[in-house]
Amino acid sequence: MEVVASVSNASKQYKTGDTVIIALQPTTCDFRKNELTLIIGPSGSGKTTLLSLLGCVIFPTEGEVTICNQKINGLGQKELAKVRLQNIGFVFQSFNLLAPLNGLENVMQPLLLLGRSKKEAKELAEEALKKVTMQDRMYNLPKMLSGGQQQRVAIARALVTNPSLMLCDEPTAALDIKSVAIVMEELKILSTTGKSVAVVTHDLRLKQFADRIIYVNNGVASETPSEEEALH
Amino acid sequence: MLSTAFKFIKYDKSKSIGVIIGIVISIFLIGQQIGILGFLTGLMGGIIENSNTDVGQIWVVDNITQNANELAKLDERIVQEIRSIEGVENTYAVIATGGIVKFKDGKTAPVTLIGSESPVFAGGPNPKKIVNGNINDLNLDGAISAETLDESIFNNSVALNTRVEINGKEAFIRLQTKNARSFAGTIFYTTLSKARYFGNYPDTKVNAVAVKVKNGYTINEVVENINSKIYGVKAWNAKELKEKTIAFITVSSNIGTSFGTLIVFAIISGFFIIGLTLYSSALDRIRDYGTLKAIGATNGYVRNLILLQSFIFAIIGFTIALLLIIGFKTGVAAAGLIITYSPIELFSFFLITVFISVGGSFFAIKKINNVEPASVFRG
Repeated sequence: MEVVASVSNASKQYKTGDTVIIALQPTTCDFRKNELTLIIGPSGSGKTTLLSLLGCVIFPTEGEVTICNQKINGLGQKELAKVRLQNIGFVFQSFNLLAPLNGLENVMQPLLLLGRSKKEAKELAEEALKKVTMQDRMYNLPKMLSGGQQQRVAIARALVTNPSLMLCDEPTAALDIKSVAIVMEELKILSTTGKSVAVVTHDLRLKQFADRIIYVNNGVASETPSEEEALH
Repeated sequence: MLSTAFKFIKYDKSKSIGVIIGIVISIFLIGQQIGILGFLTGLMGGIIENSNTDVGQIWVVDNITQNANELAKLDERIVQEIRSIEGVENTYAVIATGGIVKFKDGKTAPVTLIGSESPVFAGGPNPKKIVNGNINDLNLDGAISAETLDESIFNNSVALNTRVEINGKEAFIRLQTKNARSFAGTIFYTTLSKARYFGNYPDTKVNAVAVKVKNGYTINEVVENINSKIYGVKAWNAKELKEKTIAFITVSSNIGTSFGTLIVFAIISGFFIIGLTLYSSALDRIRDYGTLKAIGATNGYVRNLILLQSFIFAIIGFTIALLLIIGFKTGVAAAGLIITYSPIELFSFFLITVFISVGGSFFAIKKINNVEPASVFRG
């Protein structure tokens, strides 16, 4: 299957005074088209660091990150922003909808940033909201929506630019059980439409939706679960 | 982006109102202070401003005078002497003397009597400031002019043909002026001889000589000629004497410092009130700006979004402040305080508004520039 994003021997270290914190050990993994990949691990294991590397919001200390055949090492802030805008859709744990804008306007934002006309952005945003069955609430401000509804709007925002890679950071952590199923099913469907969907979670119940699982523990990423993980 | 900026402003109503109030207070105070300062400087230069400067292009006064409101006495013969100087077309004596006006109801007030030769009336009033009557009517027995805006000071009507007494001598108001006032107080214009009569002013003295320049000569040439040939006096280009008078009073009375300090503090306080409110507003929205960056907005886009909000604040704040300034101007005009703003002054107010508003957003922009897109992954 076609590789959409890959990390190759990529590691991340943070320096705090004289202390060096290794957030992610050298890691190599691919994220492929039509796959929903779960990145599973406990809190502080390094899974969000891996997601941040894939999301081009941080650079690896060593190694390489490639998104849609473009190496991101050495790119400037503007180029990185462009890579994110054109190739990646983000879904955040706390939804991160822009509070002053209604659902439709939130979904229109990435398109407007891409330079699309307002009219075109509106049409595409309405389509994206229909896909997540939020067309009836698109004129509501985020504060008027439930957690599950906000996350669906966030998914619509992430997919409206038709990105190759969708990165979801704990997308179900703030949701009730019913909403978890709805959101994960949406993401699963999206992964079958030519996208690569990467979902960071520490919720092992989401395994049922995964095509592939990457386990992250103490900064080490592997496709082989530890004994404890294998038991779940 | 404009629509997004408006939404951000609308969403955070309390802070947006705070910023706008900050701008309005700051710009209204600046406008008010500049307006009053303009009014006062207008009064300072009033003696020259209200004279007939088409005729009195040059004013010759004693050589130590720097304030046209305090003219020392000169020998009257100097009027003829100056007339003989190269480049001088004609000379006109001007006297400024004090008096007490008494109205029919017994109320009194101090006045300055400006007398100059008929029919030219080089000392004033300026024909543009006459609102009622004919300047030649000042030749009638006991005729004087009076200022309509001073009615509130006199608490008496200054209608034409009103009988008054000046220093106990009968006088009649035959001409009305509007906004022909001076820093020294109320001015009554009349002929040279009547000013001497009312003010008990000696026939052998004058306070100034107004000079008309002959065709083919420049004002500065004639000023130099007079200054080089006559000892004990100083010839001024009328405009320069007015400016010197304004500068002298503004500095010596500390009016300039006082108003300048108020204006500077209004700008500084506005800058910081707006800056801190925008900063606080940006902190409230830091998650939104971080999200925008994470989904692909550049620092430039986010900076422009904040700048656009501050520019919208500037336009709204300026509009409200301008309406308040116009209201203030209209309100005080009824009390005789005539304030005028030139288009340049109004444009300057707008520039100051943009400066304090957009400048105030500097703190917010700095903060938001430092927000890492990665921060949105941290819950």
